[in-house]
Amino acid sequence: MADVAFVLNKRKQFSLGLLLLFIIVLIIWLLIFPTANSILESKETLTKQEKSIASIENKLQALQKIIVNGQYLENKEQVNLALIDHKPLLELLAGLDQVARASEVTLANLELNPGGLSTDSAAVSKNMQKEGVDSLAVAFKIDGSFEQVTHFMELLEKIAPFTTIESFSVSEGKGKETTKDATAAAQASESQDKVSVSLSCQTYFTNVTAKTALSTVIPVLSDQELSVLAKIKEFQATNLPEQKEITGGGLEDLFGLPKIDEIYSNKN
Amino acid sequence: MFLTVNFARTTSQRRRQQEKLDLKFFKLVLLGLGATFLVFVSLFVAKTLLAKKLVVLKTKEAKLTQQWENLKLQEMAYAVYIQKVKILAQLFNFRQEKQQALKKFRSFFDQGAKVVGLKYSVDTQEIMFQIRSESIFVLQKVIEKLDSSEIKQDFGTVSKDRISRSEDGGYVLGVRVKLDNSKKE
Repeated sequence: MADVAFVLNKRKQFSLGLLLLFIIVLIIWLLIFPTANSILESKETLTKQEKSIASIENKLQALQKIIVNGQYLENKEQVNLALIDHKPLLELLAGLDQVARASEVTLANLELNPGGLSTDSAAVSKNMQKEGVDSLAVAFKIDGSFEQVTHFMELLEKIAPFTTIESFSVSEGKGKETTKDATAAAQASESQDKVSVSLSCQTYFTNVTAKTALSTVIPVLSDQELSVLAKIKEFQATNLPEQKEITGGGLEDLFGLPKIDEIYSNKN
Repeated sequence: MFLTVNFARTTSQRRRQQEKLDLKFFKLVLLGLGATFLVFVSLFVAKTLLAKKLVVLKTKEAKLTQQWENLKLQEMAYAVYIQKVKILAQLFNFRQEKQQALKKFRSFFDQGAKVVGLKYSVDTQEIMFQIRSESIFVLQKVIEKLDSSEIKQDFGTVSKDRISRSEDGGYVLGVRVKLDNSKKE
């Protein structure tokens, strides 16, 4: 110990040097290392932040473009008509009526099961149910010539809401018997051309909910999915008359009660 | 001859050498300290600048997030639209083959032959046609057409079920067309 004190005393520069060396080590250990670490962390955060800002900016730009895109707005309306957000009972009935009129067939024996689905096969696949798709099943019979019937089937799959034929069966018309009379023969041939078709179809509707987050990428459609938009344009929307006022119908009071205006005027 | 031994001079020489070395060491350490300090100062400046930049970026991000919040509803509507289009694409895909088959067979045959009966069920993925031919010659043409490569290419082998002859000499041929099940999920 005495030697160390002697050396330190006699070799002041060396001792001071040692002290400074110790200070350097302390500076490196206590100041430089933590600062360098913090700089590295900040740089990492900065890179992430820059990336995030770039992606948000891209997303905002894309969104702005979409919002002002007239074609999107037009297509959106048509898509919403093709897949509406409620059970399309009235729309389907109106559509059937419209198609039957256009193809000149007679529609009968309409069976609708709005509360459930008729068979397992008629049910929407599980994958689609997950996506929020449901369907309404309807069965009916149509009568007409073969051309009219096929025209009806063609038109039926072009109505909005999206309707697809699940099964059909064409049974031959009456009048198979042969006849010698010319007029009767013509009538018979006409009635022979008549067919009766039992059809069952499904109309689809959705209950789609979407979740978005800042980090989610704006989805895009593939070429095949884009081709759907062109097909939807051919769809014929059903025109449901909108009721704008409540009409009384002018019926007399069947219970013989005084009118509400009279009750109030008597009270006053 | 005598050798002169001067211990004091040797000691003082050694000390001077030692002092020189100590000074050198001290200067080096001092230089090191200066360099270390410089490094620390530059790191500190860099850290401060980065922190400032980070604050600017965070403010920018908050502003952009606010802008996105204002457009959130539109984005959700767009996401719903995309999902609906995807669903429609699947639905179209399911029925595409059926429609193709119906279209093809309705206009495929020449004069004297026409489709008079149809049956289809989504369960079996099969369409059954009944093709009426005026005569045996027309029927032969119908069968040739059904066996043609055009039909085979689109629908594979079409199975012919049964033939019946009506009183007027016409023939009704039953045909089954199997649709591709792989398209149905």
